[in-house]
Amino acid sequence: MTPGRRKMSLLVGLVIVAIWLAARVIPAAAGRFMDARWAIGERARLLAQSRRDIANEKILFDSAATIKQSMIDLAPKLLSGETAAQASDALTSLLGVIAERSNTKLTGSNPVDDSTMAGGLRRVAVHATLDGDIAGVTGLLQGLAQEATVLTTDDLQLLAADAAGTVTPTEVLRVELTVRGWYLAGRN
Amino acid sequence: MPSDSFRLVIGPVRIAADLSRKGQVVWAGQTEYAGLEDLTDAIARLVAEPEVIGSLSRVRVELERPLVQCRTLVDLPTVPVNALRPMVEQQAHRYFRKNGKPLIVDALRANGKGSGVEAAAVEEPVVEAIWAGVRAAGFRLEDVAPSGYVGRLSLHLPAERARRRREARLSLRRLSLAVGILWLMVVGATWFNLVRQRREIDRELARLADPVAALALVKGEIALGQGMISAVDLGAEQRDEMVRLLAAMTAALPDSAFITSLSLKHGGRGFVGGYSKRASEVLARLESSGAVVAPRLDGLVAREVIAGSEWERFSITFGEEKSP
Repeated sequence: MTPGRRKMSLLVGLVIVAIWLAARVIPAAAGRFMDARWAIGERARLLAQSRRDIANEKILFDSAATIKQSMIDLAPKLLSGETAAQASDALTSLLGVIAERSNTKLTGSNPVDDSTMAGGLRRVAVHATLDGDIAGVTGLLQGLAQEATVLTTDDLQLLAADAAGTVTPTEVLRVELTVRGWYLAGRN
Repeated sequence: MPSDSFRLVIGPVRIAADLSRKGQVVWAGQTEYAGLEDLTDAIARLVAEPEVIGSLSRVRVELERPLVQCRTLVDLPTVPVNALRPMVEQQAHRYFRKNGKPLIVDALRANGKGSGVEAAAVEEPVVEAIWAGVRAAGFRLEDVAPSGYVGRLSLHLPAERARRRREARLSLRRLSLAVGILWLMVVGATWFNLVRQRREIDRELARLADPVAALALVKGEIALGQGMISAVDLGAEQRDEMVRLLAAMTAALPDSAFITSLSLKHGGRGFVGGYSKRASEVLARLESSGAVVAPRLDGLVAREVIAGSEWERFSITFGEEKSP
């Protein structure tokens, strides 16, 4: 092989190696390097967060104590019972008591599916039908709003029993409404 | 120009020498020689002067005319820089006197317009004699150039040129190798540093794992508790929405109106139907009182006679539909 050809072969070889390095090795190495740096950055952030949490341990436990107290205060606002059926029964009973107090008559009730939950709390809903006059209905709604147990009323419908009949202030109203309340689900 | 230099200016019969330190000539001398045979000795004599001995180890030689032949060549074909000297060397007999002796040639493209080439040639025995004299004195010949072309043209012996090229290539390889090694070291050190950092972080994370897990549990319980409290609080805020809405509506209705049906949904949407002496008055009262949002008559108002009086039957919807 002449020196010229040898030189050319060497040059071609060098170019091939350079292309291989530039196209494969260097990008792959750079990628791994960047990945490693990113991973270390993430872990360093995690470590910093952990240290901050430990440094703020007292504040966290204070918050936990406050939340615990707030949850104890929450108890009267919840329906009794640990299952949906028990809570629905409790809600229906409560609705009956309030209806009686407001001179309306609970004529029917049936549970409505409600899958809303928040932590250990579950929500139940009851669709109820009542009869009464306007004062009774207002009293019923006020009673629901002022009850110690937090109850929310939704989908209220009023219908005059004799809509096309006589015009009188003592008309009988048919009331349909959905009442919702929270209960604390049992561990099991 | 280097701060310390020893220069020999060789003419056809005379050799001038000067020794400069920091740009100042500190010693100068000259001698004459008779023929090439004497040139080697003359150089050795000059270099052996007490002021010169031991002061420097390199010599720069400038050749004067007619010892060196300088030409400006025009109308040469345009060739790459590194092909210029071989081209002139090949045609040396056309441009220079040979006197039957081999020539050492160098050429460079002149600056400025045109394609003029500055070329110089010296008989090889002259450079050999200079080389021998410098070597005999224990010096190293740094450069041989025509006067006025120092640093631009070089008239070294072919063997010396080849040696210098080899040295330059070797230096380049060494430099490349050094740069490569340096890069590898930098990459290695950086990678090592990354690994070390990661180990330190992992060790610290492992040490903090238990307290962090306990705190995470507490945090989870707090979040859970906050969710529960928020849900009940939200219900408590909304619980009197219906009664407020109903009270506002009944207060807004004119005395001459009565309701036969009412529907209220969460968010203040619904409809109200009933009878009034003037349905438009009901709508206007509901609108002006702000009891409900966006009330509008639903369908046509019908006139009916109830208990001997004429009433307008109305159906009003209100509230804004939420966009999906």
